[in-house]
Amino acid sequence: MDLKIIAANDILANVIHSNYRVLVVLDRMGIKLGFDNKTIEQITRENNINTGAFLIILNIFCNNNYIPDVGKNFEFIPDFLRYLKSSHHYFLNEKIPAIQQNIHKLVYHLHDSRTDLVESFYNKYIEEVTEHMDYENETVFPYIEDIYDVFLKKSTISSPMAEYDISIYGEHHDDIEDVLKDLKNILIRHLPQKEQGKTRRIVLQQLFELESDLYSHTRIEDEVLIPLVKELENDLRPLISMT
Amino acid sequence: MKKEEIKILLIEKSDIIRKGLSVLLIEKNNTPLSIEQYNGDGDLLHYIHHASPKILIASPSFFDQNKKQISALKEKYQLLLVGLIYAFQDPDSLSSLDALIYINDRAEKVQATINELLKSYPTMNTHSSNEPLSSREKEILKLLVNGNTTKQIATALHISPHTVNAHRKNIMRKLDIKTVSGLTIYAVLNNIITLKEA
Ligand SMILES: [Fe+2]
Ligand SMILES: [Fe+2]
Repeated sequence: MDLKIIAANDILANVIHSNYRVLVVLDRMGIKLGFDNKTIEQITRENNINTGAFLIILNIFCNNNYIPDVGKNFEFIPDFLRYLKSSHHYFLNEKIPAIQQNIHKLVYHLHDSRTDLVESFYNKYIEEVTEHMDYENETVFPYIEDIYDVFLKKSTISSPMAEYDISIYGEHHDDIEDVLKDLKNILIRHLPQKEQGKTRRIVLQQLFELESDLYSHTRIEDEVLIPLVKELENDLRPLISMT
Repeated sequence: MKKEEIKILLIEKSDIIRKGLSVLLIEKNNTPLSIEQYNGDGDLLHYIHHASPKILIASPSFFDQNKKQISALKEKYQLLLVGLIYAFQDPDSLSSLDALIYINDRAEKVQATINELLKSYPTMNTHSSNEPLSSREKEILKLLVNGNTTKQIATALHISPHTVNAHRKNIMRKLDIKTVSGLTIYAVLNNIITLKEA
């Protein structure tokens, strides 16, 4: 598929027409609909969002083949964090529970004790994802905010880097999509063909959506956030050792 | 099945070298290749994105300068990297590359290098086939979802751990399930083990 790279002077309304799923991205960045024929640059300025950061998020979201290049644009960091945090909120409080309800409904109506395993499989997955995102929310993101403050000279160089470093996160950043892939296959190939075709179809659609949303989320963490924070750490390190 | 065309992206400033190499690669190659050429002007990322190549040929210094993006690409798309060498290179800087083409290589050598690389190219068909599990595989699946390690399974069945691993990979490929808890569900649904055992 030959997808075009989204640019600052593109009209945001057209971007939505070509991929309606970006609506969740706008939501996460606090952009309200009703923006007429304005370009991405105009809209992001009005909303106090960094245009470059927004374009990277949007392009990764729309295109699996897009290769982000963030260089040393440290000013992108706050908007990346904002996007990742509100995605976590969306996953944990909206999408994942909605799927849980439907899986419960599906399993309940199958009247087969063996299929209960599907529900416990998903519930175990929820625990895993919650733990993963809690760690990011409580440890990784606050650390990044701390060193970004040092960069802005808002806080004195007390070196949060003495105790933590982004490579610790990078090395332990697990894939959280494998379980979803298995679940999809169990529903597509292996669960007995009884009624509940409609619920099963809805669950599957939701799983596909969650998987691709999580995929681009993880790409932002791995291919954008971690390399950018590494650069920032490298720039800050000499300043810290001077004090 | 029709052989899939393999895309190669050739990054090289010199027109003579780039065009010459491109002709060499297309000539007498039994795998269908399509070669995209890039001379270094304009937005490279844009270019890579449009070409979505499977093989990237460039100078080692190019790979070095774009390390981060290249390693991300390599991992995600199983991209193969070929270094085009026309001066002495520190061997360490070449260790991450999949193959090397030297400027003095004869035509046959260049073609052989690429053919060799294509042989190692991961097969396109990674999805499950419609073969059912063999009885041996079912036996191993049963032991696996009952919590046995590869070593324990090997001992129980008097086979090598290596063979157990090969079976396990085949089971996962056939069912398209990659986690042990996913396999457990499959095993219960298909009465390979009982719900009590799960
Ligand atoms: Fe995350
Ligand atoms: Fe993550």
